[in-house]
Amino acid sequence: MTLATIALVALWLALFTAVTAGIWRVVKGPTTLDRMVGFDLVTITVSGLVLVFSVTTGATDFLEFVFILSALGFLSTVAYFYYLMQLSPDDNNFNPEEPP
Amino acid sequence: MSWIDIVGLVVMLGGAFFIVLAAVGTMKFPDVYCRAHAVGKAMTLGIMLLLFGYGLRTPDVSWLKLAFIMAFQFTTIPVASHLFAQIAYRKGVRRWTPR
Repeated sequence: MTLATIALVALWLALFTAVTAGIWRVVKGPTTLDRMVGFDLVTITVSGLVLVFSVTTGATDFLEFVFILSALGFLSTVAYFYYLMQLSPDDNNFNPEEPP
Repeated sequence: MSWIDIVGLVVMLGGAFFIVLAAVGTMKFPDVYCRAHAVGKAMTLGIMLLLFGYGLRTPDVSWLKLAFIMAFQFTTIPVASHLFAQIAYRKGVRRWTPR
């Protein structure tokens, strides 16, 4: 168990903790926007996890995958933003008030 | 294990630290605006440090691709955070005030 192994285990644990926090926010979030924020956190953290995975295994051809993952997360955010902007102000699908 | 590998691992650990900070902010902050702010700032720095540490750690990495991904993340994460705040403002989400 060298120092590099301990550092890699710490990286995996930290990023999985961040993914768990994002999923918790997606499940619990009071409004739709909180779920969007949690989903954004999860996608960016997963693209970081791909980097940690390629450091762990020593493979060097995952950089395009990182780019595609981050692009997918950003485009889904923009698409959902566009959908919410198209709703009329008195639509029932979006409730800006947080329940107590 | 040369010294540049150690520097790369330390930089990656710093990036993971900032990503955990962003996750803690997303969990604990009381409002959409605060959560979008936490993701937009800490997450950008964390993923930058992760990418840079990966480049230091891997010997035959393509720095052009890495710079392209860095520029993309550096552009899109603050833009997404701005979109969250803008849609919340337009939909009339009330700002959190301490009671």
